[in-house]
Amino acid sequence: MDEFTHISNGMEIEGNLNGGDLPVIVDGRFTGEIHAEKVILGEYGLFVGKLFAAHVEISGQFNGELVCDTLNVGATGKIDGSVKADTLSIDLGAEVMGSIGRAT
Amino acid sequence: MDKVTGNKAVIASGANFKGQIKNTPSIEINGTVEADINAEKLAIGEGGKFVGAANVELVVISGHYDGNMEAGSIWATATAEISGKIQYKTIQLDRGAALNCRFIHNWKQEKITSKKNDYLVSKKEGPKKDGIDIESHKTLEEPTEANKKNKRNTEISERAKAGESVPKSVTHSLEAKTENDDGFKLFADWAKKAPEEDQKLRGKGLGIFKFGFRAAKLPDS
Repeated sequence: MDEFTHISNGMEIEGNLNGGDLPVIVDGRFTGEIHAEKVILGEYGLFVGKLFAAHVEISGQFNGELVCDTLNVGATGKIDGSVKADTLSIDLGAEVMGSIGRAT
Repeated sequence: MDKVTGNKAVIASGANFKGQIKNTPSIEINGTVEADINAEKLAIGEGGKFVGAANVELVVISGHYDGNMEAGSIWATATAEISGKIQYKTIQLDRGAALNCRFIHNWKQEKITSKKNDYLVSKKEGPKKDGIDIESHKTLEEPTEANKKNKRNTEISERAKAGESVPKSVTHSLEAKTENDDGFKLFADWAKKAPEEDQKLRGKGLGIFKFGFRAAKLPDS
């Protein structure tokens, strides 16, 4: 992984992020909307809002709406909201609340 | 992953962000960002574009910046394009940096005034090491001299109280000190009057300046 967008731990961001082709890693707090190719929500990351991406890994707290092709919820992941994913995997220990459906 | 990324925020090339950014000690922008930033370190990479206000201690600009910046030190590299208003303390420009902005050397005025007025306070806190104070030689020396005298006086009076025989020359110096105090008062009074005299002199000076100004203009026309 050469380059990526990184929202560092402790950082608070509010707004609209278009990640382009490069992955987005959220270790801080993000409020708003992300459009990206790949999004990784770190263990201490908090996301509130809407997330549109091809590949998503969630190990932190996610609140809101998630639309993606591939979703992997890690063991420390917590999701509260609606999820739309074509391919879905949820690790043992993850907490998922809300609706789950297909994106297409 | 966390170990690789560290604690540095990055907006990668191709990324586009618009909104608010808070609590960032250090941020690198290689994409496009429209936000206000309050940070310690800011790096705008080549191809990066940042629009918005920034209050940053250390800035390295290799990309495009537009906005109102207050910075400690700025390094604008050869590929930098800067527009807007920049307030800085120190700056380095590489050959090729394109500037289309207003630069203001922001020597913080509060610091200078505070040193003039509260040197007595700063004396208690000990010498201030941060920043360069032009006034230090003038302001800080006087109080230390006075300190020495005071110390000596208290020593003498203590010795006198203890019943020790104090040599005449020393007691004399004690009296001299009180006289000195009067002299100090006189000086203080004079210092109060001084500005008025100054004003008078200034008025005169203005008249001369007016005359000179006209004389200088005549040959031209």
